[in-house]
Amino acid sequence: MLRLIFLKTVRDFRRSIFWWCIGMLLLGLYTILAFPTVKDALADLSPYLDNPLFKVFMRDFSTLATIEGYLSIELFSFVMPILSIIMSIIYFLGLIGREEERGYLELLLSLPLPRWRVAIEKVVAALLAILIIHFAFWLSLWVGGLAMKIKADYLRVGLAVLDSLLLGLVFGGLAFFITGLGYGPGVAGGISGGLATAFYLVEAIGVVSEKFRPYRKLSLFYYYGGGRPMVEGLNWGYASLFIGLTILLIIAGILIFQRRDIKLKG
Amino acid sequence: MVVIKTEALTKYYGRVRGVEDLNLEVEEGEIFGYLGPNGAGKTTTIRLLIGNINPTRGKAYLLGHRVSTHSFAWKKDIGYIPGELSLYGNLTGEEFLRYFAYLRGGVDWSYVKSLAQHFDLDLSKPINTYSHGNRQKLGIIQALMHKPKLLILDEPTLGLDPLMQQEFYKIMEEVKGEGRTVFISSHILPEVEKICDRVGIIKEGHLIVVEHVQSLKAKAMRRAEVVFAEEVNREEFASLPGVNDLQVEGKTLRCLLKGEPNAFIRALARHNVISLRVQDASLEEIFLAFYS
Repeated sequence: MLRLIFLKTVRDFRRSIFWWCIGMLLLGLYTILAFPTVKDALADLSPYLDNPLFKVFMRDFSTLATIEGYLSIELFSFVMPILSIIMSIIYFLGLIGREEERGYLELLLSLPLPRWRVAIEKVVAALLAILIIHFAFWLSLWVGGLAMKIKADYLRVGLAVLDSLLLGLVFGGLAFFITGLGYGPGVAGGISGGLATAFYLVEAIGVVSEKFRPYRKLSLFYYYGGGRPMVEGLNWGYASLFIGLTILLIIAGILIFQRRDIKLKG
Repeated sequence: MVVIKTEALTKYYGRVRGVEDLNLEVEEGEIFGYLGPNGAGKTTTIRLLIGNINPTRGKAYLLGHRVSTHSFAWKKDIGYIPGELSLYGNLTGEEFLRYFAYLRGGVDWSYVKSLAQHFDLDLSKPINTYSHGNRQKLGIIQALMHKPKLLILDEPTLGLDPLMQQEFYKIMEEVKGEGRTVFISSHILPEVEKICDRVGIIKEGHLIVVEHVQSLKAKAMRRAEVVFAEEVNREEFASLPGVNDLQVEGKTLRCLLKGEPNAFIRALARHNVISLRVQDASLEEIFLAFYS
């Protein structure tokens, strides 16, 4: 029963959660099931190991022959953080932005509910959706790994997934903040996605260029571990930075949303 | 008791005027009609009253509470229909009403059912299969279902067929009979005449008049067209009270009638009338006639 805005929002998300889970399960299974084949062919890949772009998130090439190294390159260096960011932005920009654009907030906010409660229940629903999808992804790696008898510390693989999730949430939080200011989902998605791309470029260029190296710390990707949590564990300091930024952006978004004009449909 | 009170309520959207220096009082138990052409500021006023937008300056009080975008407790006693009603298309009518009932609290479901029966609305269907009129019915039910002390309705009968409009008017009478208050915006003068006690007319963001309906009726103009069996003398009608803009072409007479038409009807009765058509003047015409 739809007794809470949270439940209604989860219900609205149910189809997208399902399809995201299917996609992420397939990605995880495909990647892990391909590992034995790739491992056999690793010798042929050796010329590419000198490519400096590989250094972006891989500090130790000796791990490439391992499942951790493989997952780092195949998933956690690029594909996974990008998917996490896209997913978070999509979920968060719809919470206020799309509801407002479609005119639903006009009636919803006439109910005797504080605006902050409306926003928080929606945020919690989005967090749950993103957590479920990431958990499904981790599950696919674990189940696939067990099926293929690939030995790995799957809890640490989970930490790498978590790291990616936390990075994504910052950009989701940014999209939420922008819609909280009153901008539409298009603007919020554009700014958040554009900033994520810019951060990625700063980090990627900073790795290979001495000149750009000092600017790496300006990029959130610098604090993202890539595949390193599978080897070194999660850097909780950096993870806290992601969590802190996400919370800050969400709270700021809610505070502004609390007092601003609601726009009419369209 | 004053249920709605505004003090110099003003809203600007950047440099664009919404409403300006609105001073309004609506008493408990009355049905107050809020009239004006498109863009006059009706929806802005209503959105200020419901707390969905902030005033640029001035204050609004509903049921004694100061309205703001971040206050909400007073909303438990308010029922609202926005001018542009957007409902969750993926829910059925019943799911939507139950959802709002849970969030709002204090809703008697048997009353909701009786309202749905009144409006002949099938709540089991998804909202995205509803016609515009049925969506409007659902909006009306959600506004009424908790029996609020104050109803704020922005063009509530838009899209309703005449039969359902009559049902709506009946319910408004019941609401009034229970001592509850209604603030209703409308373009439709006959509707306002039928259900409202007092009206406020807004033009270009300014409240230009607040009057009792009877008084407005006396001022309202109607366009009349009469075809006689024989030609008539223009002078016979030109001097009648309330007859304006008189045109007589052969056997056809056209004029604008202001106020009570008794003298005009008596004059017509002296002739053989083949056809008579009387049209309510549009609100725009009333504005032009009285307030420009």
